[in-house]
Amino acid sequence: MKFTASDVFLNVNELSVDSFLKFASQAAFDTGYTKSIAELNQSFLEREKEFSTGLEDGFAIPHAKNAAVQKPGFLYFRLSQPIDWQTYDDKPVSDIFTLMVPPENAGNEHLKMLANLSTALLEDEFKQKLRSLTSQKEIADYINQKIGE
Amino acid sequence: MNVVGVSACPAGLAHTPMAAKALEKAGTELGWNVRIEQQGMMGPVNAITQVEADAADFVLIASDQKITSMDRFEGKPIIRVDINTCIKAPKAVLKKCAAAVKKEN
Repeated sequence: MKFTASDVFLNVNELSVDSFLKFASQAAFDTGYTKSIAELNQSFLEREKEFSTGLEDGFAIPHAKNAAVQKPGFLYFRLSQPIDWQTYDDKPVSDIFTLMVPPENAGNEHLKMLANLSTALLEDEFKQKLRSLTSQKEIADYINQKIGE
Repeated sequence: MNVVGVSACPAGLAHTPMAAKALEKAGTELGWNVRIEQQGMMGPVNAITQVEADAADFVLIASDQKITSMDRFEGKPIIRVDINTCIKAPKAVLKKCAAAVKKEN
C-alpha cells in the first residue's frame, strides 16, 4: 500500500455526511479501491449508523470493511467548509480519512498502516502539521512518513 | 497501579488500536503500568500474558464486543467501558476504574 498524491482530495465541497460519503465512494472508484460505488457507500453508511466515526479537532475516519473493497487502503479529504458530524468534542469536521478493507485477507502490513494512521490522529502534532500542508504531494509524503514508522 | 486490558471494536480496524494507545499513554502520564491487548482484524496484538494478568490490580475491557481468552482474568476485578469513551477521555476512565476497584476492596 502506497499512499500517493492522487489519494489526496483538497477543497472538497460537500455539505453533509451523506453527500460526503457519496463523494468519497465515487473517489474510491476513481482511484481503484472499489468497483461498486453503491455497495461501498452503503458500507460507510452502515458503519456510521452503528456509531459515528467522528473524532475530535475536526477529524473523522469513516470505514468500510466490505467485499466491495478491492484493495486495502485509505483516502484523505479536506473540506472547503466544515460539516456537522457527531464527534467527541461536538466540533464540525473538515478533515476526513476513509479507511477501506476487504472482509478477509487484508494483509497485516496494510492493517498495520491503517492502525498507524488511526493512532497518529491521537497526536496534536500530526493533526496540526497535516493541516499546515497545502499541496497533495507534501501531504502524501508526510502521511507516508508517519504511517511507515 | 497495574492495569491490563483488551480493546476491540466492530471492524477491528481503527478504534481498537486508538483506544489501546490512548489508554497506555494516559497510564504513562499517571505513572501507572497500563498494557492493553488489541483484539482487532490482525488478531491479538500486544497479547497480555497470564503473568501480567495475575499482577494486575484490575482488568479494563474497552469494548462491547465478545472478547476471547477471558479466562486469563479469572478472579480479577473486570470493568467494561465503551471504547469511544476510552479514546475520548482515557485518563478519566483509568482514574474512575481505579476508584471503583478501591471502593469494592
